[in-house]
Amino acid sequence: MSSIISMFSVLSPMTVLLTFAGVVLGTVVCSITGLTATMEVAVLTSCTYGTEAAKASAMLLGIFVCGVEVGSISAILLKVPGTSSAIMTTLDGYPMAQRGEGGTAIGIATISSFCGGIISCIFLILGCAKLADIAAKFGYPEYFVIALFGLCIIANTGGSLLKGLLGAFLGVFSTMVGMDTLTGITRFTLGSKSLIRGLEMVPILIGLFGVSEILNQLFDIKKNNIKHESIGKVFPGWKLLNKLKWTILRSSLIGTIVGVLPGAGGPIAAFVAYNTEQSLSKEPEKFGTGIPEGISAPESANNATVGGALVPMLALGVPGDGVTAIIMAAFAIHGFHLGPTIFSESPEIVSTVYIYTIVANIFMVTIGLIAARYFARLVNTDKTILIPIILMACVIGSYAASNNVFDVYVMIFFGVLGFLMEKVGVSTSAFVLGQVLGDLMETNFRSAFTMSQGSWSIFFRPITMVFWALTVIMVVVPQINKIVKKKKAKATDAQK
Amino acid sequence: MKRKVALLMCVAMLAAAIAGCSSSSSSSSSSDTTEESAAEETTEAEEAEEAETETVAETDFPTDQIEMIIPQGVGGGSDLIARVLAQQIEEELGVTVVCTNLDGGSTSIGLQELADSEPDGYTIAMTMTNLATLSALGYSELTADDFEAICGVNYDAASIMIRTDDERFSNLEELVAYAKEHPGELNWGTGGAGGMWHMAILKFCDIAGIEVNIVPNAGGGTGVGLYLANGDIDAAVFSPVDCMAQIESGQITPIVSMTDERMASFPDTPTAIEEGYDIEVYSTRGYIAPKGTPAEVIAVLEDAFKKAVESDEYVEFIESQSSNIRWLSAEEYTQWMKDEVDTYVPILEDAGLAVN
Repeated sequence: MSSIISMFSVLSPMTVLLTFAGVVLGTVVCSITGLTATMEVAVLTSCTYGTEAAKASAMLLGIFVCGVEVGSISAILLKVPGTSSAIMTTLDGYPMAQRGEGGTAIGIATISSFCGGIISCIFLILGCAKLADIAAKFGYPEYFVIALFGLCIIANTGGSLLKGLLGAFLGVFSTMVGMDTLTGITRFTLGSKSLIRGLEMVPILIGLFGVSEILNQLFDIKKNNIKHESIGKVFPGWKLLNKLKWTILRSSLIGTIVGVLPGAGGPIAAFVAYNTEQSLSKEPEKFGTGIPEGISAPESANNATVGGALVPMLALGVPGDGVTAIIMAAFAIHGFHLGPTIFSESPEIVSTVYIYTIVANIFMVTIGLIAARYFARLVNTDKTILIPIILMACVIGSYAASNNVFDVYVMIFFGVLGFLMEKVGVSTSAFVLGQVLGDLMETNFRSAFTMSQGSWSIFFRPITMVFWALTVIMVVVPQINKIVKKKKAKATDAQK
Repeated sequence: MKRKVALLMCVAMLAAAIAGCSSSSSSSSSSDTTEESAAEETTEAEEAEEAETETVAETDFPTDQIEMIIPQGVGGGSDLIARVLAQQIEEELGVTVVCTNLDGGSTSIGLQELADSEPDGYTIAMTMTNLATLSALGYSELTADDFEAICGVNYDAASIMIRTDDERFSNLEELVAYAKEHPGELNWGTGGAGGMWHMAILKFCDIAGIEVNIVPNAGGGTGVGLYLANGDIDAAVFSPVDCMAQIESGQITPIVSMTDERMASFPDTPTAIEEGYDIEVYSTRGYIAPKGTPAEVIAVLEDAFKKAVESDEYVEFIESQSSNIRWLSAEEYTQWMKDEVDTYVPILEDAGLAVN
């Protein structure tokens, strides 16, 4: 207990204020489509190199925490996910906003994110070192199987499996363009210098979701003219939260575990959590029609990965993603080495990170709930004005990803592609899943296979077996459910 | 009607945005050029004045902010070192130094940007040994001849690292003996093919007459320390900087460094030369300016960097990173970059990794 109290001694007014600044900055900047937390943190790092490590990291943590949460706002209101973590949130968030409950949807997302963030922090405090021990056992084959497990989620997303697979295949293929990280050989660059860098995630995401949605709306702007003056209650009410508590708890747990594994991250957590809830639900068919569970699950999961991602950063000295890599750098520039020795040598760093993640979450939920009211009114703006503005934000976001006009063309290309894919029913979410996991799957497969010198047995080590089992469950359970349902339907028919 | 209005506005917005984005880079660079050429003019004018009064050719460089291109990502080792130095030369020169990260293409993307900028000293870049192998590996046609050297500031060196509790070998001699008895069986981890540490393995195996299974890692040095510690690979060839977390916790240890003298942070680790293998593999970091940058401007920059490299902040930082300082003057660094080509390109050619 005394250790917990002493942890709070690291709180200082100035640093709390900086965390607040980080959260505000994160909310404002990240709410613009395509401007991600990684980008913002990268821009701000040079400012933070001059200040103390604790202050710098507190501010960056503030951005990190709300960057993930804020991505859901545009996902809910405009069907344009601000970050890849928010893709699953569009499924139920957007229909809800269309029904005139945008405010409630954002409220649910914000509170779920807050719960996810806090729950993952509790796990961090209780078992950072132990969780890190598990993550340290993961090698190439384990990551390959995890990526495969992640891809198998499409088997669950409903609709045609073939079309889902096609989307995922295209997504995986898109990661192969450019220079191969293992051998330096260029692939599918068609002689273009701009393609050597490969296709960036951000412009693809904005294109597939943002631009294709704009095209979609341009085609039926007349039909879509129903206006909702109401935005729903921003605070969803205790009754609803009580109903969501198990969803939030399960999803936060999933998010924390996925976040602990370096490189896996938010999108996978959101996908897994959504599908778990759908499989466990008594009414799985309601998912995708705008129900609170469908927002709560991915949002608590993707924010829980924030806490999770801090585990490998602190305890192993291995960054889990772009933002943690930069936070590590902020510590390194002040001479602190994160890694197994951190707990004995500078435990104050560990408590600083815990405490400010919690503080940032508290600010995030407060600001998020206040801002939701204003953001939610956005949907009521005249479409003729709104659509061009969104398009502008899309262009800025794609360009800012790496200050390259080529990325804007990439965005337009994938916008048209996404529009056509939706028209023929090929899932764009599956595409993004493939895009997120493709590289992880390919490089780890190749490295693992080189390591085993061509033996397949390496893919059946103890930890991988757990994920193989999960993969099989993931694929088989929904099929069984379908069969059972059909039989039941037949039985009821027969009774009639 | 509404649809047409929306469509029209969308097209207009898009056109404006693309035009804005594409010209923003060119217009900003053109405004830079005007400023810079203005600065150049004043420089020239003053030079002329000074020449008249028969003083030594001097320059009032710098009068404007300097852009420092870092051809690697934010938060990496190179980025941190560049930013620490940027702070120091900022104080030294009295102008703002803006750091821009342009990563990708094994540094060729950032260096191409430098090659395309005005040779006036207001755009400089950090460079690494990668420059020597860019054309051999087919990343770019750029060579050291396309730039003027300013100075060398630091190096990291290839080290062979093993687990501290490995029962099969505990030093280089035993490792080599084991590898000879079990050809091709040991897994040696490294970064991407054609990278510095991959070349170090190729050259070392060649000299030692051993055969190992090279396992590349897509994330560069990230995570390799873990893979070595958990037993997936038997040895790792990297700069120890990449694996500090596991070295500090005592799980893994560097058993040899491919340097001319022992690394300051690892005084107990012998050099390859001491162990009887004539091999040195460094990833050296230095600074360059576009070809044609005036010599007196280079001299001002070199001087500022020399003071920066000697500053307590830099020395302490490099020490905390367990990296190494190596000061090379403009002249020495020019020669150093030439030598790097002669050292590393043949390794790539022998391994069949060179494009041409």
